[in-house]
Amino acid sequence: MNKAKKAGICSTLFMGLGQITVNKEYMKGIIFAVIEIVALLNFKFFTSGIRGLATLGRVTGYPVEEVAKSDHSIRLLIVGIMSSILLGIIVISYIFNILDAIHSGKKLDRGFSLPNFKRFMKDFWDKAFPYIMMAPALILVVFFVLMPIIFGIALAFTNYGFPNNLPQKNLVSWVGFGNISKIVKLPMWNNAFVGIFSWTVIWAVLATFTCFSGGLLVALLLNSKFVKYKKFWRTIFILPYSVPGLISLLVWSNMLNGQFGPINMTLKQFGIIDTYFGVLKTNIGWLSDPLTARITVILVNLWLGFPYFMALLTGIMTSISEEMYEAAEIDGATNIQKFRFITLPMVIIATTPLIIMSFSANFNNFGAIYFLTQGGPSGTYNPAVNAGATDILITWIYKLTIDKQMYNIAALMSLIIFIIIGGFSFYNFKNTKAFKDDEF
Amino acid sequence: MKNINKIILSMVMVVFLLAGCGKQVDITKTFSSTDKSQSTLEKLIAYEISEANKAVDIELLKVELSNTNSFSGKAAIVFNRKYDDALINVKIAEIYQSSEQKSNLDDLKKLYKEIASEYKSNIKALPDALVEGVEDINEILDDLNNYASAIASSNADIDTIVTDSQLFADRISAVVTVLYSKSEDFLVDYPDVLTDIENVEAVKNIGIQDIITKENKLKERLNKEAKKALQKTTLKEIESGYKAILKGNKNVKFDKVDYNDKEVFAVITYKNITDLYPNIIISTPKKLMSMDNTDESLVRDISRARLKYALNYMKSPILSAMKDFANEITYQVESLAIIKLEQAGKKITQASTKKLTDISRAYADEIYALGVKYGDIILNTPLEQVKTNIDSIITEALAELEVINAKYDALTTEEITLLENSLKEYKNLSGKIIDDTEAIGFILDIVDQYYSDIEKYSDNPVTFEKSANEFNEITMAYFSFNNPIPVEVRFTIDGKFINKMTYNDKIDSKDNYHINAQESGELTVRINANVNESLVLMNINAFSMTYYKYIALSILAILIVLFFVNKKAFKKMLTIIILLLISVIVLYPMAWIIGSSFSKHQALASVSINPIPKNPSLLQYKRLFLHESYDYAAWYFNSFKIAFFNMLMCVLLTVSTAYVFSRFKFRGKKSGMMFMLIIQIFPSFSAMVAIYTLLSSITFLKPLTGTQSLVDTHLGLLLVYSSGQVPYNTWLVKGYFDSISRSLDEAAKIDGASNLQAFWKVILPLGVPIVSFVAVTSFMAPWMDFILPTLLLKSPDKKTLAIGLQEMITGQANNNFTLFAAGAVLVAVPITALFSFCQKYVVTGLSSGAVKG
Repeated sequence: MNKAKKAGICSTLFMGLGQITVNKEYMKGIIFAVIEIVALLNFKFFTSGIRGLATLGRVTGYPVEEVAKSDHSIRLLIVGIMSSILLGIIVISYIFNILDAIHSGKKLDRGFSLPNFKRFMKDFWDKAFPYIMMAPALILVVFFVLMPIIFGIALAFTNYGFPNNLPQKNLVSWVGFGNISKIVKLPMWNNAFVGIFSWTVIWAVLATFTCFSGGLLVALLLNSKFVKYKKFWRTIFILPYSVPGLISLLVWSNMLNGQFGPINMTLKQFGIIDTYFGVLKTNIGWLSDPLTARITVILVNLWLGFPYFMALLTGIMTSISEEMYEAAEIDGATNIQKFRFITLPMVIIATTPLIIMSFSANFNNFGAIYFLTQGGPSGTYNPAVNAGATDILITWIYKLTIDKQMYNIAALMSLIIFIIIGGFSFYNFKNTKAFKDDEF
Repeated sequence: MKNINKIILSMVMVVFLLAGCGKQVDITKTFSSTDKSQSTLEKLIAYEISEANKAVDIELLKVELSNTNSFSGKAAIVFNRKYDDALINVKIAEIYQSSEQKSNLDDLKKLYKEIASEYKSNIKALPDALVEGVEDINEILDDLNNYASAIASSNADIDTIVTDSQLFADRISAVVTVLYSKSEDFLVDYPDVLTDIENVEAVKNIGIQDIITKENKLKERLNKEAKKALQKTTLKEIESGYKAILKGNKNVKFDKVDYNDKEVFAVITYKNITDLYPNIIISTPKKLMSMDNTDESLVRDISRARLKYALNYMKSPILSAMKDFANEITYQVESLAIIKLEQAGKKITQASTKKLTDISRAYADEIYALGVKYGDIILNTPLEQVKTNIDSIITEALAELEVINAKYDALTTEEITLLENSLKEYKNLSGKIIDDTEAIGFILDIVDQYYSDIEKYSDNPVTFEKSANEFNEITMAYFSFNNPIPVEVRFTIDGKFINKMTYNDKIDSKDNYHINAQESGELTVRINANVNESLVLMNINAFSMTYYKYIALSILAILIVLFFVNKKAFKKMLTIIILLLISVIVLYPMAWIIGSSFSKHQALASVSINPIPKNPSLLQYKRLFLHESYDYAAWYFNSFKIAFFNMLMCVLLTVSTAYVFSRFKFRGKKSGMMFMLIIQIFPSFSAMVAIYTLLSSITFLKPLTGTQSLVDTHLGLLLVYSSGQVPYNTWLVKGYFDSISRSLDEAAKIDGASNLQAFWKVILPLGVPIVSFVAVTSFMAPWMDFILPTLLLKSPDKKTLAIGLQEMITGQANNNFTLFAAGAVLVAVPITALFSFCQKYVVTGLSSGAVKG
């Protein structure tokens, strides 16, 4: 029997055994063996973790005296996910251990000598350099980003939520697609979901479109030959982008206050509301009337968002070659034609990925809605679903989580957003140069 | 040709500037010789002039005023005008004049009392009306609630409900009409008041000038006497007494002081008036008034000075706090009570339609939610059995409700018959729910006893915090009339839920609310600065509006002329006008918030729309750092700390990962990048529960943080922030590193540099723009993040700016708008400056595909 086979079988039996006995790579073998020993010592952690994940606990919080001994379903779920991730890592290193034993054995079979430990460490450092560099970031990302996401997805298929399934008094259990069918079947949820979802799409489209057109308009104006001191103007127009968004939004929500806000006060002073030339007789409920509030949030978002596209588009426009315009002029093109057939296509081609990114960002634009209206005004949907007229999915999720503790429904909504935005991002990404070149 | 254009242009400008200055120029003549746009312009100008004339017509103003919709606006304007400073000032001026002749102190006192009583009686009129209105409204509200529960348990058919609800609507409108008619009375006196005011203004100015000169003389004299008198021993005691008062001791007595000593008296009075008016004036007037044998001229001077300070006292900033309260009350009464009442009326009117069941569902949901919530909170482990009972009752009720809901949703064709059936069922059910809530109330009574027993023995801060929060919520709910649950039911549950002490407190506060409403009603009338000056301002505004209009019209005219004579100049001008307009829209909110931060007042209602404040003051900035419940400096420091370390960690993690992804080929690279792409998309709220649990299970860092786990620590927040930003930034930085030529670092490696050296010496210096971008964005992100800190930070001293600022202006009880403005300016200015400073890098980042969160 050749060494490759022997080492492979030994390492399959116990991690590192092949390396130590057959290949005589003691250090490597000891490292592998330590991994397996540690894993075996914590065997119970993995088994109980996975069992907990499957059952989500069996002992309820009743009767009262037993609460301390009862199972906390959510903790079990999280520990289960963590142990699965760790188990995955161990399984990968187990497979790697077998492959490594076979690889070294083959080398010995062919008559090569294996590198000594010092040499091995140097090779290892060179080979593993990328992994070592990434390790801190990767560990943090796995535990603080990936694990919570898996948890969030898992929640969508449980009944964890107000009022009947809040640990530690009650157990949480898997319900499969129960939450989805709840949303499809119950009219209360159904109405709210359809309403909020369609408004979210309308909002994302309009918010992106208005910001892009606003930015384009200002960029065109700044680009015109009539305008002097372009840098000065640009500095002014970039301001809304550089002021912290939360503050701008809170200021706007006060400016739009129906009774005392300066906008209505100004309208009064200019005679649009309530006076001699009065067009309107009462204050405008900028944020308190459903339709007006929806229009208002889009307009405020325009104020916040147009500078981004303006900055972007002025950059792109200056890079469009003058020769094209000159050639068009010789052919007798008007200004409008020049814009329609040269500027616009160039600009749109250069910014399509960014427009899609902006759409995704607006789809999840929590601040623009929450800090202006807190999702209100209410009355559009059934009060039990806790949603208002300007609520988009993300703010609804926030309110379901924080105010109503309906974690399962919130998680399901998160999953839906994840699928939609994930689709967009993936599409966007597929069209990038890096992906097409298959470079990375 | 060109010259003609210029001539026309300058003519138009001259004409409009003249018109804008209010000079009566015969515009038609000037225009008769010009081109085709003449007639349009003529019409426009004629219209503007006629409108402007209308604007200053007081009669028209009056008519319009009486037509205004808002009862409160109308009443407040008239009231305020009528009983405003002016009248008091007239009286005060009269006293000044008569005091010159009258040497008798009693006469002075009499006059003083006269003014006070007249002032009071006048001013009481409105608040009484308002309070009556509020009481009426409360009554109707109670009736409505009774009626709502009556419907639930009776067999009344839909038509009766509609007619009954019409009655309620009528009652409501009757109350409002009464309030209207009361305000109507005041309108009658309106023209006289206006003339009064004009007269008074002049008198007042002269009077005040007089007082100031006399005051100065008095000060000089008293200063001299004070210096002399200070050597006496009794005076030292007075000095120490004042110092004690200044430190806040309210129980200082001046027993040993001989008030009959002329010099002592002088010092006291002088001190009273100049330094400690509000404290001392109350403690000494009797002494002061009983002194008949003092120098009469001195007494006169003093009483004048007193009057002056009384006047100032009225305007002093102390009242601004009360004014805010008054605003609050007006706001509550006007906008909420009346609107809500109308809404309630409408709701009842719509009771025959589907709405009724919707409301009932909401109602049942609310009761159910409240019951379970309280059960959850109160009934922790030791009271499980009781909880089970409540739960089962509630579950039953909900199950039945679900059945009805399902039935109701099945309604399609035979709606009316089914509706009637379900209405009956609803009625039965809601009767049952009321029974159930009573049962819950009974059980909760017992629970309450248990609870207070437990509370005696265990000092549990968490429970207290919770019940305090709940109390606030309920109080707010009560005041804003938001809750569709009848008041009695709500109170039974709420009262049981909160412990008895707070329940009594709440009843007290309800009574206080009405008393305060009465008191502050006077203040509403007296001090609401915006409304107060509105009538005089209206005239001024109407006048200034014509200026604005002339200016706008001039620009318009120039544009029109340009359009016909010089297309190019027209375009140029149009472009600049549009840019200017956009600048105004962009800059106004910022200018306004900066202006507001320099205001002396606190409420949003008192902030002027003019971004340049009239009397700028740093009061709000001082309050920001001295405020008893907001620790702004700590928030600022916390945010800065988190931002700074987040920046360090983010740059470190991102740059190392991006370098690897950009320069090395290794197994799992493509899937790693894909992983990074996908992972950043998931919305993080539902993941928050996991993050929270994860942080609370990390206990091994206790020696480092000093807390049990990472929850409620800045370190935990930092870890979540920096790891959350890694995926996106890695993509960004990797893209930038890719654009740096590989031959550079390969050359370095051939020269013997290690991977780390090549990275440190070659890649990093070339990647400065994108690294700076990551640094800037990761530094700025935590400043304004709201969600994570709300969830993870519990203790007040760990709060960050975003939470603090948001708390400052949400909730009507916290009417701290200008304080918020000052806080916001202090954050926004450095961050905006930083952003503008790093604009170069930011634009680089932008074109690499950054999106601002």
